[in-house]
Amino acid sequence: MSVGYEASVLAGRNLRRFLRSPRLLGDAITFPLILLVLLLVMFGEVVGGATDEPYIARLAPGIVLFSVAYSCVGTAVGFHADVHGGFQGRLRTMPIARMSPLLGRIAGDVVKFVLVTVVTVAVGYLLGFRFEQGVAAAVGFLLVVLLFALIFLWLALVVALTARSAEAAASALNAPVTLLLLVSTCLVPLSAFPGWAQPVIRANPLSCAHAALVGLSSGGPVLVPVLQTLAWVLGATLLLGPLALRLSRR
Amino acid sequence: MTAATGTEHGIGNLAAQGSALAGRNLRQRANAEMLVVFGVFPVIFVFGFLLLFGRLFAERGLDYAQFLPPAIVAQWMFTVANTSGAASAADRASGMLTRCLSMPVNRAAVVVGRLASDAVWAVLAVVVISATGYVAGFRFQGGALAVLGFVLLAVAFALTLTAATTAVGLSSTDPEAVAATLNLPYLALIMLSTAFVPADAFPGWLEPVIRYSPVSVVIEALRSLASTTPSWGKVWPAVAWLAGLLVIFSWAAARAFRRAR
Repeated sequence: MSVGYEASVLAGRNLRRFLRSPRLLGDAITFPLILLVLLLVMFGEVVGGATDEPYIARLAPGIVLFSVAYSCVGTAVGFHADVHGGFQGRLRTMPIARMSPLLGRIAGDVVKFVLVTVVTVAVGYLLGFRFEQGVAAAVGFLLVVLLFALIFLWLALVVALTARSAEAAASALNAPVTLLLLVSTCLVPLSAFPGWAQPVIRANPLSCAHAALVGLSSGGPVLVPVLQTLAWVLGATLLLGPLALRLSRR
Repeated sequence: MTAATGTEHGIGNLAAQGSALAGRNLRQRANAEMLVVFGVFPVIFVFGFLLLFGRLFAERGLDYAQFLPPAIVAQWMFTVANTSGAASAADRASGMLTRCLSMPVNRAAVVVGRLASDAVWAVLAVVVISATGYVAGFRFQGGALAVLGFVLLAVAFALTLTAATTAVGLSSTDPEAVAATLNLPYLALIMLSTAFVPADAFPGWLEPVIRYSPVSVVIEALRSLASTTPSWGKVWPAVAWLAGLLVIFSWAAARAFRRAR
């Protein structure tokens, strides 16, 4: 059997677990929506007043990216349970490719991200967010989100494979991901940060992907931020992918 | 029914048993995760929010380094209460609660033990956040009495919230579900308050809600106690709110406690 088939079977299993758990599903969808509405109300005037664009044009792509990055916490917890609950051990005794369980986890989560993106963008539309660059750009928007998600998925797999407990995996990811959001351009423009911090803010993967998403929705440069995002994805895949595979063999 | 052994009553027994249980609660949670939650996260929040909004608010004439730490303190009092609620559910699920109630132990010791350990976490959080804030430029400008008031008010806020989360925690046996349930009101209450943004920066129709939210009232009292001119006029509404809420939440917690057996 091919790796593709094996991975899709496992992806289906992971996805069904997600769709059939009202709590997981509810958390995945309500979390971004609550953040979107609350942050818009909180920061709309302060930040929106300091720039000429409507705040929702910045916030909606930012919340999509943060939700995707943040959901790696759930991925890590779920994968940790698979590793220590015996499911991975069971798979290892079967004649399937070593890569399939990892790919299955990633593929299942990608579907979840599409769902989160569509719901967040839909509610963003009600609040004034618009795709002003046409249909192709909107499709590109989704593709950038999915590419970006890979960075955090690889990270989640590595953390899940090394953490001693599910709580430890969750707390190891929680703080860095939240910090990444705060020091990115997802909430405020680059010019609001002090000068010394700006290079760091600019290099943050959330900022790179955010610039690409804003370019693909409201307008602005697209090529350079997309290439920067790609560089992050490639770097994470080349570094963390083999590491995850090696850890999963232990 | 166990025969009375003489260890169930009296203030001495209550204190000894309460502190024994408090010690157990503290040891149980003294792990790497709590170190991250109480040692790393507050630092990230203080500096992260300062980076984010320091400049934007400076343009509006607001010293964000002085404005922010009391809000982070309030945020952490929520964290103390929420983890306590989950711990109550865990104690009920694991049989710890039943065990305590079947022993010749003062009933109230269970409650006292929980409150005492939460108070320790709350004080710890206040110290860590104030120290981090100090590095960022935050100062207690109102003298020693005001500092004491600040700490007491923060701990009182944490314990009032704990009464509410205990009521939720004791009606469940699933700590994860409790944590998830408590997360939502926590996010809404802290974000829809004057914690991170002053009331006049909210949309006009929402301003009264923000201004009169008990969370805002407590945070404004904390800010007043840290300022050059601590004012009783800002503090007493917070005390009144907490006293009122404590009555309601304690009643709910006591009810959940009776039913949890």
